[in-house]
Amino acid sequence: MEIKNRVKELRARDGLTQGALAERVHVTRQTIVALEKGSYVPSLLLAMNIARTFELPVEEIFSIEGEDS
Amino acid sequence: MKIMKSVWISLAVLGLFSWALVEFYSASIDISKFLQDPEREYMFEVRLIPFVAFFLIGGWLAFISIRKKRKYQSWKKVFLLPDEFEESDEREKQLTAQACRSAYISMWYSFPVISALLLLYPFVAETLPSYPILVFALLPITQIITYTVSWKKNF
Repeated sequence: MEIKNRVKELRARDGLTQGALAERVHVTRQTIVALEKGSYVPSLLLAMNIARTFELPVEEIFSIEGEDS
Repeated sequence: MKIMKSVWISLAVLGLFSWALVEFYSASIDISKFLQDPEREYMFEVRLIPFVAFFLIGGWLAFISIRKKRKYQSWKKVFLLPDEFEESDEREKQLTAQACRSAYISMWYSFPVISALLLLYPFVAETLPSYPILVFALLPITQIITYTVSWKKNF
C-alpha cells in the first residue's frame, strides 16, 4: 500500500517553489523533492503542516494509492 | 552532499590515529624489552611524524568540524555526535536511523571476519608486528562505509 500526494500540484497552484514550501513547513528542500517523487512518506506532523500551508484537509492532499480522495 | 566531506574527515582522522597507534605499539615493544633488560641503553625509540600528523591534521580537521557544527547545535551534540549525523529534519533523522541500522548489521558480519584475520597474526608477526591494530581498524572503517552507502542509497 502506497501513499500518493498532490503536493506538486498544490505547490504550482500557489506559486510556491520547493524551497519556499520547505521553509514554511520547516524541512529541507530535499524532503519536499522526495515527497513529490513519492519516495518519502511524511510524518503526521509534516502532513498537517503541509495541509495548513495549502489550507486544505490532510485527506485532500494525501491518499492511499488506488483509493479515491 | 555534505555527508561525504564528514566521511572523508572521519576516515582521515581514523587513518592518522591508526598510524600513530602503530608507531606507539613499536615504542611499547621497546619499553617492554627495556623493562626485561635494564642493561639496555635506551628505553624506547619513536618516530614523531605520525603523532605530529595526528595532532596537527586531526586537530585542524576537528576544529573545522566543531566550528561548523557549533553554529547549529548545542555543545553536547557538537562533542558527542559524529559528524556524519545529518539530522536537520525528520527525513534526515529517518535516513540516519536506517544507516545506523545498516552499520549495526555490518558489525555482525565484519566482526567474525576480523576475528578470523587476527588468527593470521602468528604468520605475519615478524614482518608486521602492528598487524592487530591495522586489522582492528577495519571494524570502524567497515561501519563508516556501510553507514555512508546506506545514507546515500536512501537519500
